[in-house]
Amino acid sequence: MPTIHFVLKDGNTRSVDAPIGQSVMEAAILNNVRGIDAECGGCASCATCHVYVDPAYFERLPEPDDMERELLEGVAAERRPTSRLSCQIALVAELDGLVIHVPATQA
Amino acid sequence: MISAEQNDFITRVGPGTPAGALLRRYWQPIALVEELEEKRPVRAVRLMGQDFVLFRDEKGELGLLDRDCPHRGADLAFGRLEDGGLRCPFHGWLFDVKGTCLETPAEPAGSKLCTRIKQSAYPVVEKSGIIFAYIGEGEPPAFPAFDCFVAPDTHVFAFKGLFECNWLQALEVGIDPAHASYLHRFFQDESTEASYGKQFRGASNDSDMPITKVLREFDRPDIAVESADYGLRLTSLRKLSEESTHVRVTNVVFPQAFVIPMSSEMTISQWHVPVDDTHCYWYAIFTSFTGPVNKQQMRDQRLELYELPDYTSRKNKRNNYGYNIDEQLNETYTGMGNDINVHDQWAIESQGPIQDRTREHLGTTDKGIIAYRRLLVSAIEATQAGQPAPMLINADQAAAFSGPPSIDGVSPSDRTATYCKDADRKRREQSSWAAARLTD
Repeated sequence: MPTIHFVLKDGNTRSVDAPIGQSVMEAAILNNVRGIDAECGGCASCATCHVYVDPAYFERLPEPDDMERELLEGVAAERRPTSRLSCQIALVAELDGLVIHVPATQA
Repeated sequence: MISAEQNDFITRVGPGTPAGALLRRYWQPIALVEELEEKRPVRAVRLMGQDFVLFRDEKGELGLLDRDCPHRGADLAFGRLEDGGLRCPFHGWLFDVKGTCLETPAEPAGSKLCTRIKQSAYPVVEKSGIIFAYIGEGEPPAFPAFDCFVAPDTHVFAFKGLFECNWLQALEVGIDPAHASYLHRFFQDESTEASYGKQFRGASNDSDMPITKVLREFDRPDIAVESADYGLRLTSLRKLSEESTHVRVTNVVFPQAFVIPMSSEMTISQWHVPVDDTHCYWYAIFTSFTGPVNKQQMRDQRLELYELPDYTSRKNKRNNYGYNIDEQLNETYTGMGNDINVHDQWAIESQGPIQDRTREHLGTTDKGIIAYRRLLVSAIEATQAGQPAPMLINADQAAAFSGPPSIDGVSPSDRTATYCKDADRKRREQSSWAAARLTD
């Protein structure tokens, strides 16, 4: 199972093993990683699972679709070039070791 | 969608839990005054997983004690009401409303045992037909001067009913303005003349349109959520035409109540009170801004559904809530009868004893629920850190509260922003008791 390292707001890191096919958001919620709210539960209608993907992994991800791009316009924390919605990142073997930074706020 | 841990964090309220610690900082409804009007005014009551006995002594004083006798744990709810207190039938130990042990009659003459025994007792007060209890530590907060607490006794009516599920999902139905267009849809409107005491059956204020018609035909409300000093205010707009817009303003009063319009003359102030983690009572105060409430009629209407002594619903999961296929095809959205309390009861009980929120998907109309959960989580965390929480108010602060305005009416489309304030003002000016509180 790929491992995801979540860098939390307080600077601590939570490492979570998650099955291939699960989204980064689901891995965060199921493991009680704080700071990823995911109100809509992954149907891409809110923007409260916003994360910053570590640059080393960012290029490995497929491009965001139009719906995600639109929602990224409205994220509560600072929008950065590495901003993504974690519900739209599906885990694949190549993402093992993925580093995800949790933003300051989702609201 | 939240994690299982976070779901436990906000739903479980037994002794020692984080959310339980928060809710214990507030007055909680524990019984209706009418429950102590029987021949023997003693009731066993359960609140947030703790068992108590509530009674009125021979002088009329209310007492709330732990239910287990401090001698050997027998049930004081079967006690004898005599000699200035409640007497345990096991060995005759007698306790007054403050929990003071007055007698231990089997002990040898001259025994001082009594002086070293104290049963835990909790403050209780009567407000508008409900007995409120404070089972937390230290001093309770003051009661805000909301309409339901300041209206004269003639203008308020209280009732309650049991839901077989967690308190939070019950509260979350009440603060969801979108569901009424579906769950409470009636395919035909009744005459609004016969609407007394029934929610949604009257005409919307400033119009002759039955609320049922507004809800049915305009089913995509535009919802706005604002913070208020008491919690949250939700405004739902349904545009009826270029000229007119339906405005419905409802309120969340932190931590567990909402105040909503019932009809143009009455509001409902409703608490969702945990009995334990998988049962809760709704307690409602109906407040009339016009004439006195017809309490007998209101009570009789509700006793058609609710069975005494525990205010349990005759329609429940064991009889499929009275579900009828033909009715669902032709009359109501649910097929579960005309009483909207049954619709709500089905919706929330069907979510499970404690809704598994790791499986939910919230939409745009759930913004009130999202805002409320944020308030709740931050207040629980503040309580854990020994910090203040909303609505822990003193007497001076309490006096400054009013309303909160709860309106269902039809506004000119260009004046929706001020409609609630104007309609609320008009209703108060025409109300014998509310006019007296207007300051300008």
